Amino acid sequence: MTVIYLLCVVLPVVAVLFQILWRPLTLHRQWRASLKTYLFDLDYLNKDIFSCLLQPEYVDNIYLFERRIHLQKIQCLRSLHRLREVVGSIERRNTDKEYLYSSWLNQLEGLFSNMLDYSQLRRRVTDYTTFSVCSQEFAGILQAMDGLFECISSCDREKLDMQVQALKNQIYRLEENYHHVLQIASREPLPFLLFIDSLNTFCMNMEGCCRYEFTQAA
Amino acid sequence: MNLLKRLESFDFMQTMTIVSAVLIALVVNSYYAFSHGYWMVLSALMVTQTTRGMPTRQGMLLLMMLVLAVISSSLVTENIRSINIIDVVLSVMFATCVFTAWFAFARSSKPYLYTSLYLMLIMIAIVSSGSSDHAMPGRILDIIIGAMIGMICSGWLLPVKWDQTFKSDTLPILEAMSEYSQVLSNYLFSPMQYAAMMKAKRYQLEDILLDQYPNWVYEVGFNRGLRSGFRYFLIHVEQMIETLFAMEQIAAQPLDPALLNNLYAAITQVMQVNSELLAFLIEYFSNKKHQATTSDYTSDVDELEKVLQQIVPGNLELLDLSPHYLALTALVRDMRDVRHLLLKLVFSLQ
Repeated sequence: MTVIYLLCVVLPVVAVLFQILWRPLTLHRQWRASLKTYLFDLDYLNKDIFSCLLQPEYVDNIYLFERRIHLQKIQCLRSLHRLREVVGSIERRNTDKEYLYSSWLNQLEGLFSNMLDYSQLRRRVTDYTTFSVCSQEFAGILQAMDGLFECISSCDREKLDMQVQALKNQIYRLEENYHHVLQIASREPLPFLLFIDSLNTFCMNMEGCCRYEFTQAA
Repeated sequence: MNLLKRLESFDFMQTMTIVSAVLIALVVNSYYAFSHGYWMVLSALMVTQTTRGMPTRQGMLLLMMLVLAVISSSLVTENIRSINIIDVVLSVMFATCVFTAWFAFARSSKPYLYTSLYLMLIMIAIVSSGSSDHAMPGRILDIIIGAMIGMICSGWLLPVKWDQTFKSDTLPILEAMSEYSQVLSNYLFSPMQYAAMMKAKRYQLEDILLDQYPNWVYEVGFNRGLRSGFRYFLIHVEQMIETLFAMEQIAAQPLDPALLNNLYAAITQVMQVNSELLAFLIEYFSNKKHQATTSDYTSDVDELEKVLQQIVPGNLELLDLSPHYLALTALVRDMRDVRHLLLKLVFSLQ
């Protein structure tokens, strides 16, 4: 019975006391943990979006792929909600860094909208065989984005420039493909142009997020 | 009207199902209980705690869990004689139960939820009196009777009206979308002035998606006749939300005001017709009569595209000369997509 008493009463009381005492120090840690989760969820959402473009089964199993995207979107929204709560707590404490966190949050919210923007390609292109023309470029972009997310999550400054450059190179390759192949071969070239533009905006936003990350780390 | 709606809502119906199942189980338990506990009542209570999609399947799953918990508790009490070791086992179970319940809450995960429920039931079975091998058959019989009462109540007495439930679950999403779309049409032309309101409406829509999205439509084994129609509708609603969020993202970028002003009349017209279509959907889902409209739903979008072609270069190779041209083209394309999706949704109702 002593063990149950210890688990039920003493430990929760001690945990709550520690939470209250260490709260000021834990806010930044909470932000970091929530940010990591959010980036992780975004990375998965990105993978789900690109799986629609890369896997030919998408056409026959639209409900399955869309369901996966929906679930991942919900995860992202949940993580975003958590980030907003942490920023709310920081704002209530009136620290000098509250502005930094709220603009960082805006940038992160932008990443999510940006991702939804370029995900529209899957719906806008009706002839799915067109995707096979640029599947290598899509796979390259996905890999570069994956590396970039990993880099920001682990706060790896050395690798970051390299990853950003890798992503820019992959987008450039897709752009070249668009100018030389897709514009002629595709029945609907405009969605690809908008997709490339959205990817460029995404790359820029990611760079912005990294700047916040390293300002904070410094 | 509101009271009637509440009475027809799933929450109220489920509450009534639970209350009636528990009351019937209490009466039956007092006369025909095989064990001396309240396992029949507990079973009826548990089996009625199902979601909308597949109550019978979930009820059977919960029944199996109850039976397994009783068998497991009997195995523990029969094989472990020392009270101190049972204390330790209970403590470990309690800690695991709290941990899994926390994870189930944090991750909205069903496996964690079921694990914590299972552990909780084992603890109840161990702590309650008469948890020996002899009590096990009586308990299992009580559980089966209780589960039958629960399933009869939820399946026949007060069954789920899926069409009504779907309507009431989708309505808040459509209403939030409509409000968001209305603010977005103002935000496009004066982003600074409407930034705070835009944010508030976006958060509201996100919260509704998080809390009220009818996920039960996707449950395994859900009515085959209804599920494709419901899923079709939900997927298109989601795609529309994606497009609206993308439009907000474009509007947040610094767009050339001179170019944008040229499109003002056409964009306003398109957004207004979009609002009309959304209002039609909302009226349909709230069982109201729809007002007739004069729009043909296509000419305004054609007009918008015509105006755009006069402003931006028609040649695709020249389009990426300026980011403003691309942003405006993307915006108009989004508007066309929203219209297309809205029309699909409206036609799907017929």
